[in-house]
Amino acid sequence: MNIYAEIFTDMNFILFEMRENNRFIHSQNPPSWFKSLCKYQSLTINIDKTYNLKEMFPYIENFIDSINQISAQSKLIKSGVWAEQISQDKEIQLYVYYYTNHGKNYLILENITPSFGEQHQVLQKARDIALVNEQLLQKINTSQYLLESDIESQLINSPEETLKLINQSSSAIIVYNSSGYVEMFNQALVDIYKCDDKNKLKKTTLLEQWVSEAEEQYPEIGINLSKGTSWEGEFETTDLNGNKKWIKLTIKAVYSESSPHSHYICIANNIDNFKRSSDGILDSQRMNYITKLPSRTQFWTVFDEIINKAKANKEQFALLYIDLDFFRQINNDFGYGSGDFLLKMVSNRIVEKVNKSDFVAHLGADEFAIILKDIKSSDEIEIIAERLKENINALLPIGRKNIRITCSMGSVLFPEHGEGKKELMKHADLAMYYAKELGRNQHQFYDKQLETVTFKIERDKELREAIETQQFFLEYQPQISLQPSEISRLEALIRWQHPELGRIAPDDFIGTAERSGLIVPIGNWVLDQACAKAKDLLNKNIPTIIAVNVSSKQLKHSGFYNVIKNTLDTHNLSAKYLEIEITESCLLEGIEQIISILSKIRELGVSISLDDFGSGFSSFNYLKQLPLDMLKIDRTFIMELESSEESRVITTMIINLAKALNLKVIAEGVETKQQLDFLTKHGCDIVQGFYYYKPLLEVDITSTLLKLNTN
Amino acid sequence: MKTKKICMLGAFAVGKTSLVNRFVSSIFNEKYHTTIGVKISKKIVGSKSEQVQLMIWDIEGTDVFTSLKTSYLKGSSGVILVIDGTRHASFEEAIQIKTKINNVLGDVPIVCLINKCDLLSQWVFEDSDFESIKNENWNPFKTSAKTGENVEQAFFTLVDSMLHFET
Repeated sequence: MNIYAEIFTDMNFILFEMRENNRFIHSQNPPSWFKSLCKYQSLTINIDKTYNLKEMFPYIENFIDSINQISAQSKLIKSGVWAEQISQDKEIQLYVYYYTNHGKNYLILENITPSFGEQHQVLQKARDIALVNEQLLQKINTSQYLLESDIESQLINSPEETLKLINQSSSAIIVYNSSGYVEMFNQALVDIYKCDDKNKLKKTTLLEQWVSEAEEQYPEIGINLSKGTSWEGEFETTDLNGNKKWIKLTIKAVYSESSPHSHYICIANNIDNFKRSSDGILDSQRMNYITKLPSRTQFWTVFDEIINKAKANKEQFALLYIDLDFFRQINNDFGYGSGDFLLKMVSNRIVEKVNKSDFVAHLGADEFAIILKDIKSSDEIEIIAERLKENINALLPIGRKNIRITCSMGSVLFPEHGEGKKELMKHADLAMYYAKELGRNQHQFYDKQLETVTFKIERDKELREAIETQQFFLEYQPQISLQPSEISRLEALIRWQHPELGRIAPDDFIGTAERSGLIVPIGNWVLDQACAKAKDLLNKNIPTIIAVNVSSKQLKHSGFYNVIKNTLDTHNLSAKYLEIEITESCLLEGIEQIISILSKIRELGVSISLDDFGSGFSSFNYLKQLPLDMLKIDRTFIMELESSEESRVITTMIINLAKALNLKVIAEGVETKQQLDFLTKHGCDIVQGFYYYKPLLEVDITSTLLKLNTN
Repeated sequence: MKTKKICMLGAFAVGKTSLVNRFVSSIFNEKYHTTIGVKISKKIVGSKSEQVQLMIWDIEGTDVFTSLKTSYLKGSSGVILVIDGTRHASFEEAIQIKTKINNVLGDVPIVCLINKCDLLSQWVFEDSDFESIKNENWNPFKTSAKTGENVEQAFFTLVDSMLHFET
């Protein structure tokens, strides 16, 4: 063997020239490792001293096919690492390079085993740490959610129990009331902020500090808190000694019957060690832990870049903001594991339906943002939004059930709807809320009108003022029994007399009130007024049942039963004069809980009516379970009685169904004699509508009922 | 004899290499030894009607360093998607990988191995999750590379599916 041959034998690479028919000839003496490889794997050389490398090594076959597919222009292409066995207990690690020069193609195999150990050790260590961190995060996530949920359920009614729970927790917790005063906090919080003097901590406006510290990464935190929506994130905070540390913080706004945002529950965990060890390993700052999509932090960074690029190139793009409907309920009903599964599936469904060049981010919880590039018109966004909605709506198996996820979407165009990131996001958010107001599961473009008409976020503030300055009033619409009855009936209907905008229809503010939680105090006010009126009428010897509409948020509120009981007691009114009306949409979330509350209320003697029956997801199954007295046929069927055979059939079926279930039937929206005749003929019990009376002002009630009773 | 390519996919540290070692060589090593790149193992198996040579591509698990190189999936007749039953994050990763599999290979035969079922005290994979993926035709098996539980059964199920799919 000459000296050159010896050098080649010791080399860690071998060069092959590519010939016809996938044959490769090597241009040097094969190194010893290659000979061992061929020997152990019984690989043979051809008579013409060529190798069929593609046949011999499936990895090389795959690599070459991939190169052919991408018609690479570059001269040198490198593969990933792959391993081959060279003896029973020994393997080698290889790279393969594809090299083109002067019209000839070459393959180079490199044996990287000598340096592989070090590379492997680094990655092994990194993954060991990542594994530990992943488990830690898994525990922190679960415990923070559970803790938040426990505190929320106890805070209003059992403050002492809440304090006990907080003091036992190893997570740092602080609870603020709506005025921003600290109501309770625990030792773990003192430990994080290194504050010996607890009174000092009380005075420290920690919530403001957090907002200011997190704002750079999460510009929306301030908006979220002012809207009373929950927030979570990880950021660097400074303790009272000036030391910086990473915390994972969740902030939850709590509603009570007396006021919206009655409290803020803040739960923090010190994740400093985790973050430090993870630097460069698990970059959770840039990636959402659950969906692996770019996180909120990364979204703001990329959003900035895209805006700058679009400005420079005078390009147009769209921002589409998606919020899943009823996600929190799914978490509560199926568990957080299922919630995470759902988020993952939804994120996949989103990614599937947009272009690769578009940017999809998971902003946290159930919010996603998509930057759609190369958008020329709002029509294009509409098409994409529709595609996304359909994909997200597809049935999803959760546990043993198939559920359908819906989402509300808002979108803006750059630069038409704003040039700054905060402005664009705010407008997309507003459009999304409008989509929610309109009934969810739809897409809405931003429009300047949204700022000025009925749906702006500031409506929360106006609603609060409306409660305080008594801008609401009730009208009452008589319900006429088609059979002789000694008791009159009225439905109480809320009205808002805005000092500047004039009369605002319920449809234009009830959604906002529900979203903000203000529906609870507003609903309680309605209940109080209705009971007062029923008592007043009773005192005038006009016994009257007054029906009051109740939202799902009120129903689920922990104190709702007591509110009803106390209101009846306050007015010394028998429960039989009160009826509550719920809608089918109340039953969408947590039907077991609803049944339990309704049963208790019905035991008091209050009657219960199911409103808008037939308009939603009418299910015979829940009808059997619900403690009901009345079914109220949706007005759309009544309106179409004269024109639609289908509506006539459905109305008849609903009446028969109610009879079979021993329920009374009310038809609302009765406006014509023909409608009344049809309903009378088919056995409807009670009717309501303009044919008899429009909703009446309170001053007109007594005379109207007296007249009715006389007739 | 037919040759069939199978890809082992999943998050890092779910036990893909251990499952291959259990199936191909009937061995198990308790220590976690991370895979870098790809290792291809071969095994001849007898199906109901014929013998098949399996080329099992054990592909490095995905994490923040490594995303799935979809070019590795090319020519694959079946996929084994592995989840660590003690780590919920590995399930989330699997969901993402499954989408990529379907995008590249369409309706390719697949089995999903919820591995480490010997670690009962640390098990977090809920029965409801199992039902969910079963309904989505992931063909799940609870396996243990350590004890060998269900490992052969899962591989043979995939082989049968691949041969059936072919016809």
